[in-house]
Amino acid sequence: MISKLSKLTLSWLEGGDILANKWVDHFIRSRWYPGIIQWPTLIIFVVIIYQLFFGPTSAHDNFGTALTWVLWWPMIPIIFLFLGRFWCAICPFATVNDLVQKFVGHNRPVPRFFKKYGIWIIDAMFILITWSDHIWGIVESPIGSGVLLMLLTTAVIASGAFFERRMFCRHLCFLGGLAGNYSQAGMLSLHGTPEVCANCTTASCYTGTEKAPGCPVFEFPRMMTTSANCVLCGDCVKNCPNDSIQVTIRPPTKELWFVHKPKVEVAFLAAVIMGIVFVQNVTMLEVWGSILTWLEAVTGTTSYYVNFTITFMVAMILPLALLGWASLVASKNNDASLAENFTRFGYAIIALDLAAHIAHNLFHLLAEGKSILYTGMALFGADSHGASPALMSTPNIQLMQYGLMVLGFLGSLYIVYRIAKTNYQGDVIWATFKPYAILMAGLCILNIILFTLPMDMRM
Amino acid sequence: MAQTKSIRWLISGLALSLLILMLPGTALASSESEESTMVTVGGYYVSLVVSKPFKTGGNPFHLQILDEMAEPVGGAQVKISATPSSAMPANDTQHQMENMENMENGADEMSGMRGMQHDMPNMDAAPTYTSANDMSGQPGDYAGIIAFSAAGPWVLKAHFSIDGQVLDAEFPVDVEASSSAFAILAWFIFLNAVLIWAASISRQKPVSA
Repeated sequence: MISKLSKLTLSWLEGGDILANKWVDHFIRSRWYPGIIQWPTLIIFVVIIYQLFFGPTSAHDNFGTALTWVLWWPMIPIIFLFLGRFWCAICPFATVNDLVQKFVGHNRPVPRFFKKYGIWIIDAMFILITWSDHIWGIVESPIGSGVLLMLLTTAVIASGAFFERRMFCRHLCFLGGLAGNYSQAGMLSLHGTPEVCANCTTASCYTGTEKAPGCPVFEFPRMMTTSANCVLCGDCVKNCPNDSIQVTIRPPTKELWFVHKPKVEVAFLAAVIMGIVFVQNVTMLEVWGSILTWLEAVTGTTSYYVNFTITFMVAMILPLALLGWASLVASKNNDASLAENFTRFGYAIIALDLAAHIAHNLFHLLAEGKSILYTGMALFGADSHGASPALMSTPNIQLMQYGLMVLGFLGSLYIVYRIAKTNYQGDVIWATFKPYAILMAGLCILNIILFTLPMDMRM
Repeated sequence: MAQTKSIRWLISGLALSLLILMLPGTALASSESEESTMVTVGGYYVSLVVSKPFKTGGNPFHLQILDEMAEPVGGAQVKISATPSSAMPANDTQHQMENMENMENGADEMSGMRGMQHDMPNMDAAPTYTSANDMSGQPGDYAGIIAFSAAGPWVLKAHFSIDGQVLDAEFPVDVEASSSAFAILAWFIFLNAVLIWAASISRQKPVSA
């Protein structure tokens, strides 16, 4: 028994099918999956909404704020790294979508506009939400956070009521865009077995059967070349009559080594996420006040709208411009155009994005983690006065942040190398590699510098 | 099929009921009526008058102080503290008074507050302070604004000095969640109920065969 387990574990690490384990297979195929995780998540979501609206008005004391911004938000990129878009399978918004759809759904086809411009809409929403968070203080205000969650709930209900499957999750969710990018660097992959799928005539994974509905995010495992959209809900595993579906473990970032059809909007989002991490870092630095004062002197206005928007624009444009510069230099050494290089090599930033995002939120998770416990205990009248919310000392957190950034840098560097090696030969590989290596090093160093500076807490 | 249809009707009914219930609820949240609570301290009648129930956030109030002859007492120094009931140890009165004395002396208002917070057994809702000023033209009436950081039972303590006599009057109050929070959530629920209701009704006419 032990030797069988050991062999199985080793096969998982070698890229073997996790579903070969009968316990995992039974669990994924059972009607309890993913509901057994989905429903408790929905209950917690309701508690969070209640707390955000009717709990303490100070974010510092609010259990909903702590659960959302100190636990869930920092955990999200970590989940994407290890489990791909599994969160999307148990996300309360998806559950609400499915519930509404089940009883009153019209199941209209997805409008062509959303199909065509979905990722751009996601990019715009992600930028808008980040901007509004800083302008209106969504994270610092429990009601602000509540309003954001209710806006998303309303959008999800509208989507579930009128459109088929999880249209919102696939084409509009701002987190879905982030999830799509990060899960491509993730370690879990679901896909069909090509030789089995080649003989399939049912396409049950897409259309659904009496066992489960068709893929909620409009994926067809037979044709899937990316994990960007798969939410690992297991419906295709239940539906497939040929047991073709495999779930495998792969090295982080592996999918990004071979992107068959790179999309400019994905590369754009990758650069924008880096800008957003810059903004999040800069505005939480203790020197942010001094930067604002300097900006006020330069712009001649004390309007936070104006001064923050300028900072925001600079932070967004900086990584985009640097990626553009590297692509321009590379285009002089390879035959590709600036746009082609931008699109192809923009994917390499995803590893750095993921590292920087996790590193930034690691501070909140580890320096403020106990606030989840304290605000939770306070609901029952328990005293937590004077206790530190930190789970780990700041120097130790910083060490982890630096380590993560180095890993992210190496990951990005390797992706650049693999993409260059796939597309070019001989000296062109290194001539293409160099400007991107400088770009990744620059972004990594900038992040490390920001992490060395003292940072304010969320709670 | 029939079961699905009846479930759809049930949902429509629930969504519509929710709409109907939300409207008067929102209207009630904005209605106002003046309420007064009176306590007797050291021969003075102290009344706490509020125009609407206390909510989280800032709340206007006024205190009315009358003497034994029911004559208004003007010129009193009035300080107000609000403390969550769960954070009120039995013997904290003296300590709170010392803090308020610090504030009154103007030595270091913030240190007084910090001192108070430091001894707070419950961080869920921090105590707040304010002073009540004489309302011009209405002797014996003192007005101010007091902030509550959380919903639940609180104790409002009026600390006042009249002719060298220092007195405390306590008013247990119930603080509700801010009506704006309620109204915002109510409107979202209303909107979502409308969406579900509209989808449920229009679904009876299939979009395509």
